[in-house]
Amino acid sequence: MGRGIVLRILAVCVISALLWPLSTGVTAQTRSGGIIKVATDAEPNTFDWMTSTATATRLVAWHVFEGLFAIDQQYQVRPLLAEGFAASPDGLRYTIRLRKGVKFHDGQPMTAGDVIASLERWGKLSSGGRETFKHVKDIRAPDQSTVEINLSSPFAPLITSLGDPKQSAIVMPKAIAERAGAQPVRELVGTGPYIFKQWTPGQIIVLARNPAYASRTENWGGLTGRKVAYADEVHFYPVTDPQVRLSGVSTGQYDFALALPADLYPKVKADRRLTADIVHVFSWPGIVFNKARGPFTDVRLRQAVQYAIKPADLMAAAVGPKEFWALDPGLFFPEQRGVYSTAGAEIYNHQNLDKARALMREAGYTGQKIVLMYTKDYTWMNNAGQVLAPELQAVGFNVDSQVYDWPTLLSRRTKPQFFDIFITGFSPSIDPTGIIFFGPKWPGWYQSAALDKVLEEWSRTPVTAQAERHKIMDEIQTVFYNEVPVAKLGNQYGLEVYNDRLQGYTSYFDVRFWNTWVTR
Amino acid sequence: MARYAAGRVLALVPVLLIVGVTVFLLIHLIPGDPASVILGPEATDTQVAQLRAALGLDRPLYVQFVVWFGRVVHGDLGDSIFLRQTVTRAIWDHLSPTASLTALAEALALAVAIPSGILAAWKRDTRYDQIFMMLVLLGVSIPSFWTGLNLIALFAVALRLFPVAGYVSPAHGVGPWLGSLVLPAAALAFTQAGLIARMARDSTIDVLAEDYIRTARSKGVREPRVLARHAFRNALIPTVTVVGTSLANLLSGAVIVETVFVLPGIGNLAVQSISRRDYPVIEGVVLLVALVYVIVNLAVDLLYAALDPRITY
Repeated sequence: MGRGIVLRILAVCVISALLWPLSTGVTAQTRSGGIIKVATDAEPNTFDWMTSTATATRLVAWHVFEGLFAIDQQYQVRPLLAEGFAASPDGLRYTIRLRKGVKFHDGQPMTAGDVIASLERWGKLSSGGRETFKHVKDIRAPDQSTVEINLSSPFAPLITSLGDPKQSAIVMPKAIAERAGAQPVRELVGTGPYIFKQWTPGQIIVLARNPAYASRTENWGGLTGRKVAYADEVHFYPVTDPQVRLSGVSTGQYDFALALPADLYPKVKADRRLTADIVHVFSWPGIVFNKARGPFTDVRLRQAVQYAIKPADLMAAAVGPKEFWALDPGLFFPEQRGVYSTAGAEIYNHQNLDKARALMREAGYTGQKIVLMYTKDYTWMNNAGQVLAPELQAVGFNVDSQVYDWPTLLSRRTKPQFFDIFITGFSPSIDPTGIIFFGPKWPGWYQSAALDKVLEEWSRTPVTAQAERHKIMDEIQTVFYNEVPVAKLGNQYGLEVYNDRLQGYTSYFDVRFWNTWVTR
Repeated sequence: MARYAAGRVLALVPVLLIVGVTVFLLIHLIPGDPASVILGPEATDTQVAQLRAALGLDRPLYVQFVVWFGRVVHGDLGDSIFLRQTVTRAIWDHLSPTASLTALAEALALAVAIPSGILAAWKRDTRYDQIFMMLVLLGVSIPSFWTGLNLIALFAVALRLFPVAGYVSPAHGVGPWLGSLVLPAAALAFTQAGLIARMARDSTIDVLAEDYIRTARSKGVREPRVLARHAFRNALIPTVTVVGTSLANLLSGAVIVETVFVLPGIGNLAVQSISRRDYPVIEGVVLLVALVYVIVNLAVDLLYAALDPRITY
């Protein structure tokens, strides 16, 4: 029997050895070609990733556009169009070397002039850009492949900010950046592995392989490193109904379906040809308070809400199956090791109705109406709203639930006189300076001396001082839990599904289709 | 009759005018604006204000109205904020799927509803009539999106006979084009057929009780001929009314079915434009739908005269 096993192992080894050169030689070729068909839940309203914060925009745009820096598989910022950078010892001058041989889709080489024009547009149009440009004195081009950013005050998150995937600092030709101005850019010329080819609204977005793509060689994953466009084309189809998206992937009409509700998960598991990709770095739902006007200008009432709610109930109602949510106090996700903190864990998820009522009495709350806004356009928000209202009523808040369609909610939440609370989800940020509700201009209008102080400290601390940064991150999160600009509910996971035709896909916070191929 | 038709066509002008003004005011009065939709949920107020100004949406409403109305009078519906094309072009591009879908659904509905309705009237109060009435009730009651999802589950996923969703233009072949329309048309036709069949049955029952039917029968005319020659044509008038109004209704039913089946038709365009607050497109689509309603009504009125010589204008 022993000899039998040895013989069998030998046979397997010999056959594998014979087949190995064949298989590796063949796959590189067979991977190339074909069309990756993606069913999306929403159609982008613009492809200008520099202006829009929408996920639908970003996940198409990042096949076409690239920035100087981008995040890798571990959500760390690394160079992309930049070769590298050097910061002066006082932290006031950043010299960024550009990669040579990078060409735009129109065939023109990328130069420092293009980069400067793009960065200046970004500094005007995006939140992160405006925040960054508060510290920027000037940007110069010592030569065609070097960009020098001079700061008026130290801003350690500069490189992180340049690599932020939200309203990203993408590089486009100078003429196009200047022509577009404040309007969303309509000439979609980037440096990415795919070229924008066609958009038929309501039907299809077509990206075609960029044959002249200048790829990096590092195996960093995420949005940077080596990128190979295997497929001839990537097609995005807007398919509103999630059930139809799933049906399409199971029949092979599509290869990939985005944003499925968690209750379809059992159906996905039952189909052997489908792979469920549960996305952990996805979104966290929160309750946003109006801090400019009304009862919640008093921090004690915001704390009262924090003690009145039971995150587990809200998450179970909003999201559903336990595989798709987690209770976590972090402003960031556990996978984001550089910035994740658990500070505030002693406050988060500690429902205490007596404490809530005591805080309300202390704040002198006497039953003023609380306007709670949410939308039915997103099922999870509607579900969360329906559980939140009775939880607030249980401690004595006089809740007036107002349910709107999404564009109406987006409009009403910009006016302080219209609401006290609204429910929304926050997609992953990569740096505390990029957290949207920390900005005084975002709906909710949060202004805090304590936060400014710790953020300022964060901005001064070099990225390399890991231990110190973790300490400051804990402080930032402590301020968040003491002042409660937003009450966090939990972490929500996403569900994406693909069939066995699609190969090489790696899970990430949002989908991308380079280094991925289809079998034919 | 020509005079009557011309008068009715002229009456279109004030109707469209009133619809245009009302729609403009209504959609600008509902909250939400394209700038915040373009910029996404995490945009700041400043950014939104910046883009509103760039799109010309910060001007007073009456100025926007005058600009828009001035263009409409010249036949120019303006440019879509999102689609990078004129509204006229966008509507034209979305017209063919809706027209194909509506025509196919109506044809399917008529092919099923008229014969089965007449048969039910003829076999009144029998087992056939009871089953027929049950099906009709189901057809009218079940929402078309639900029928649609079930048709997908059965014919697209389980049997793989048709694509799950999407539209194939007739330029890519008549077979694939029809294939992409069969399931959505069937979903629409089910509701539609219920309505028409019920009407066909009831009006046939009324007609069968008339004296001239008894006379025909007593003359020894055979039953098929009684039904086809004497009953059918007279029972048709109320049915034509239902078909007419339902044809216009199909446009609104198409909104839902087009969304489920991802057909790039007028309904889909309307839904998308409303959720994006693409004002010029919404205005254009509503004007078009109003126009269709008026024209269908006119056509129905003129058909009466063709069907019944006693009616003259």
